[in-house]
Amino acid sequence: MKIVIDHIAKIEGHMGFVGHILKGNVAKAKLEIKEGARLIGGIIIGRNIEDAPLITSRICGVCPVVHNICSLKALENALKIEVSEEVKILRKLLLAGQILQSHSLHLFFLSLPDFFKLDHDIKFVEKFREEAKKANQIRNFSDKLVEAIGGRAIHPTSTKIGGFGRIPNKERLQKLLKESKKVLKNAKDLAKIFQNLNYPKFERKTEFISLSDKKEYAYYEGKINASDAKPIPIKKFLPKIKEIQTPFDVVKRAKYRGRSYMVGALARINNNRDQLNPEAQKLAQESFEEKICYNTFFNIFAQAIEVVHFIEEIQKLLDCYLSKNFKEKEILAPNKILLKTGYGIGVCEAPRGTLFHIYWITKSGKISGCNIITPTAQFLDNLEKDLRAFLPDLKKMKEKERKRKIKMLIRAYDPCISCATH
Amino acid sequence: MSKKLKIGIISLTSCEGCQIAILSLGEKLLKLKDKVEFLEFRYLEDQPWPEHFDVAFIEGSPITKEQLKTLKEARKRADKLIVLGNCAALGGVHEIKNYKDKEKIQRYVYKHKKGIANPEIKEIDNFVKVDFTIPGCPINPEEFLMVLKQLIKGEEPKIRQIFVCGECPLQGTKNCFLLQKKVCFGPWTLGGCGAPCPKNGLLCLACRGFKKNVNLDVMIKSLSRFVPEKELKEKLEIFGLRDELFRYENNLRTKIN
Repeated sequence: MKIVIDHIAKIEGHMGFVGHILKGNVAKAKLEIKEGARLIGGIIIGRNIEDAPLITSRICGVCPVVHNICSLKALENALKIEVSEEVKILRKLLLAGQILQSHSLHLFFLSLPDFFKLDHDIKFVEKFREEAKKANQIRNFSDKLVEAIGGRAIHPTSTKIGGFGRIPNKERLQKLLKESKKVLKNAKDLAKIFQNLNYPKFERKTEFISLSDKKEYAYYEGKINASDAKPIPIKKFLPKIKEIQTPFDVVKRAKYRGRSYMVGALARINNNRDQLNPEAQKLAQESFEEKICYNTFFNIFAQAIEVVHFIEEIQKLLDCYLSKNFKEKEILAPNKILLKTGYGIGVCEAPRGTLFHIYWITKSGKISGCNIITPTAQFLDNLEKDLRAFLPDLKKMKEKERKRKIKMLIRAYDPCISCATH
Repeated sequence: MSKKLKIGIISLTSCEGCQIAILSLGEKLLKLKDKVEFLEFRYLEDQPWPEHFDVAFIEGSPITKEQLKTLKEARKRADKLIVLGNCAALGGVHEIKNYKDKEKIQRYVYKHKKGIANPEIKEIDNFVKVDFTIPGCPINPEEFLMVLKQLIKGEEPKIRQIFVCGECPLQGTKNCFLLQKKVCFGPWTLGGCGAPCPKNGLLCLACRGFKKNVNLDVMIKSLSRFVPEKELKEKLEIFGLRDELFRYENNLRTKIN
């Protein structure tokens, strides 16, 4: 039996799937990437360092902010620049806003209609008018937050090496803090829907990797947490990752000690569940019985929990920022940067998982080497393995239903092929 | 009820930020659902292509052969073809490789180049006829909405022809780059974006393209007082404008001769 899905809609970027079941055994389960290679990691070589955050933000229109900030962090790491607490808070707000932007899009418009067998969101929205409104309010809130701090909802303009190009308007942030109460209520209502969805029964043991930090549910900084060891510093972790590219594949797939692994919302919740904010914590405790959830369909629900968590996080951060009497110079980027030869790693939790930007820079302020390891490039092999394990369950189904289930699992991962290829 | 406008939003290779900008319209977009039918928009639907589009919007660059086919097919099926954003209109950030050794860049990124398309990056109007452009990186969603409403009414699409530099002070920008003797392409760039870059301390890099009939010769002469010409041209590479400048200089030369 051959299963071919030419083009999977409702994911970011272009990808297809081919599966073969021969005499009851899965002979093939392959994701075929159909994205053009933009060679972003190559085109920035030789360019000025300040071009890197601008160009790499264009890797992805769904998560440009996190590429931008990760790139800045890598450059600052190379230049040994420490940013102020205020800058950190603002960047965290941007990242939290970014996760909301991305998760709310994926949850309500890309994944949820699958569960109701609706193939067009307009039909879906007509059926779930109130829910769609709430989802749009969350998206709108996160867009406004990212715009207020980053200068624009997509592709930020105010973020710079060492700080910001402009101080965000306090009244605007106050208004957003006020609005966040209603947005949090919406998020809790919507999380209930995801809590009660009928997720396909499926389980396969795998490795979950994410940032972890003693202080908080990590997303801006931390150590790397894999299940087989205590959290380790990024520098020690990177050598354990190997990117493997095979001919005809535009994605360099990452393996951890030779094995496939999972990153993203489910990995973060599996690794750092105890550190979720109170409302999100409640949802997680009600729903997950085991310490680790191995059903990757639950990545969808994990995202819904994170939507609640990050709205709570935004409230905390805004409260903290607005109560501070900061000096402008703590936030504004320095005019002059002391250039030096260096190597720097930036790491953040992107909506889809841990993101790495790695640069080598020259004394004259040029990029001389670059490597970007995106979440999707890390989990693609794990997704393929899941599909291989999932296919036998689908043998007896009608073709249409079988394809629907395959697409559901792929979408549960929320893959971003623009990122994976870049 | 009058006939709905049948549209397709078709994405080639890009960051897809222009599609995300459209989705950011949220309720404003949903309000138009009785007037517009999204027959192709992969973020919203999972259905096969229709035979015909009233308007096809194209985002991104055709990098693979399959994408070139998709683009040509879209042109065939559409009455009007409108390009969305910097990649489709001007080449996008990935056009940078055109000015360097693109084989070397590919070798740097990939161990195996077999099966990986590495064409010279070209704007959409090199492949098919383009009826209109909505510029920007990303597009301004409000501008898209405005054009969509014009199309619903059966009007020819139109966007404001202003300069970024004209909009910038109205946005409360205090530190004009040019007054500080720093580079900014705002005075030569098509506005309509609300100047989100200079307003926030980032020079305008002309992602929306140069406004029609501006004198680029003057631009280079004025700005090269602040930084060397080579550096200016390098900055223009980011949003695919270096070749526009090259074309302009060539035209100028032909006229003089």
